[in-house]
Amino acid sequence: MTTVLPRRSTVRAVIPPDVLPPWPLRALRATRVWLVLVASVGVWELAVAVLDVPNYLVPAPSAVVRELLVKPELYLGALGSTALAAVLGFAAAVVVGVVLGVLFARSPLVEELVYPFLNIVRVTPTVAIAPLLTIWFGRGLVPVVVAAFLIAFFPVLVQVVLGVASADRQLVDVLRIANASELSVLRKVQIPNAMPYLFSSFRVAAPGAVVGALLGEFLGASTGLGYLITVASGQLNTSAVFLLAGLSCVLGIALFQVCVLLERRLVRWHPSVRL
Amino acid sequence: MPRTQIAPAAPPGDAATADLVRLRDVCIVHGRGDRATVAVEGVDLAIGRREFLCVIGPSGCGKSTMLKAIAGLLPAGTVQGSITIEGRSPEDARRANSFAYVFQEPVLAPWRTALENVRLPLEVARGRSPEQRRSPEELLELVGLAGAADKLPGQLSGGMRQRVSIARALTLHPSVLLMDEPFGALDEITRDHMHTELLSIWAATDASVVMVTHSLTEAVFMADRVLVMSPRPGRITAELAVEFERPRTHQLKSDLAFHQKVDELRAALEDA
Repeated sequence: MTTVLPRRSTVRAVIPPDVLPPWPLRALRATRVWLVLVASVGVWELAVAVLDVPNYLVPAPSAVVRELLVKPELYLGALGSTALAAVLGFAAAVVVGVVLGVLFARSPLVEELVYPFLNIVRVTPTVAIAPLLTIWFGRGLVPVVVAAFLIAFFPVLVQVVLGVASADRQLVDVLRIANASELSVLRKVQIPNAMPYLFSSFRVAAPGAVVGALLGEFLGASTGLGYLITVASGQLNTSAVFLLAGLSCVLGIALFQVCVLLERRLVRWHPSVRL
Repeated sequence: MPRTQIAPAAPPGDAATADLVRLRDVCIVHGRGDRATVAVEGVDLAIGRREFLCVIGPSGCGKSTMLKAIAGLLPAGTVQGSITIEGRSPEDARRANSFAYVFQEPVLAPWRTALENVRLPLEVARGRSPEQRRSPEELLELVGLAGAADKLPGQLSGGMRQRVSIARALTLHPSVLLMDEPFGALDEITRDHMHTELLSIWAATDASVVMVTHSLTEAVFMADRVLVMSPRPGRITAELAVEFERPRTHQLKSDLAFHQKVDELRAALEDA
């Protein structure tokens, strides 16, 4: 016989009261990363002053900021043109990477015939190709965009191939049984399945596009952060080099963050986002 | 896109195709030459309208392979003999959306909500006329998930996911539901619950069911007829009619007659 246990309606689960730490502690927690940053910059400023480090070796943070305040339109203009080249190169990488990736994943023949050659382009260092870009495309925006494209393209391609090819085979069967066209299989299953892969490639490709753009400008351009770095280092203007490196860094982080935000909004269903 | 109009009754072909599904001397051979292995051999089988048929056999006996052959999921050249569904070849039957398939896993699209998953076949099918299509909302209600329409598969339990999968299989109003161990991945409590659930869903549709299983009680509880398959090469060695009254409830599982039937099936399996 089964014994029915009495319901313990009188026993209440003890929920600990929601204890909030006092506000100074909360404020500290919310800002601690920034505090570390500010503190490091302070230590740096102090060390340069106390140890009397010459400006051309390591400039003080204040000297770097002063450099920006003296010629803001020069630096922000350069930042703008590098950003434009990086974004254009990145966009081209996404378009070409997605189209080729889908083609590769769906046609083993295309992959077999094209992939080895693309791989050769990939393993050739962009530094070695960049001078050619200047020879072919001159010294304008185009070679810089192409350099950004070259670095951003492969992560996108590889991940899209993986994302399309790794779609649940049985789910594809469910669609085929429902008599879906190949286009429907691609649109309803393979492309959505590739989305998390695509966005994870952006985390590599977006900062990569900035590196590519800088490289392109470094080797043959007349504007942009990369170009200014060559000029400033030629003049031993270390403050300017620091400033330009900092601006490149800000640009890379900004692009990266935009991609992460897009990922959070668009592939909310994926476990990597929900975590 | 032009939609093929399907005549509901009187399928083309001779009078012998009155059966919904007919297999004649079907052999399934994987590989070629020396490496060829016979998975299924000499299967003759007829499934009637509104019939619930279970196929039981040890693991690897080719029962799932046979189901795949009916659905036309096997590579060309592996199936010998003839298979017809409503008088059509598996390929033509697939184009006409005559059957649907339920896998052991729910195989839902994780980026679509429960309702959107049920709707998926409607978005891609080209074989059923509008009046032959069923409302995804109603189907979700039929499987008891009306309240979970907007949940993603990741937020549903295993049993709920499989119910979404069954609802999805019913959207195109199939004549045959092919089920490959649909409850194999569920725990026993959920499984028990799903048995009566599927029976009432089946009663509410006019589809036949061919269900592959390796559970004796499941087969006896659900089926009108149970086929026993022998291991390698798969051959049908026994056929058992199960004539318990419908609608069946869990009460049946404690009946003596039920246990005798299960024992009979067990003996048939051991002889296979």
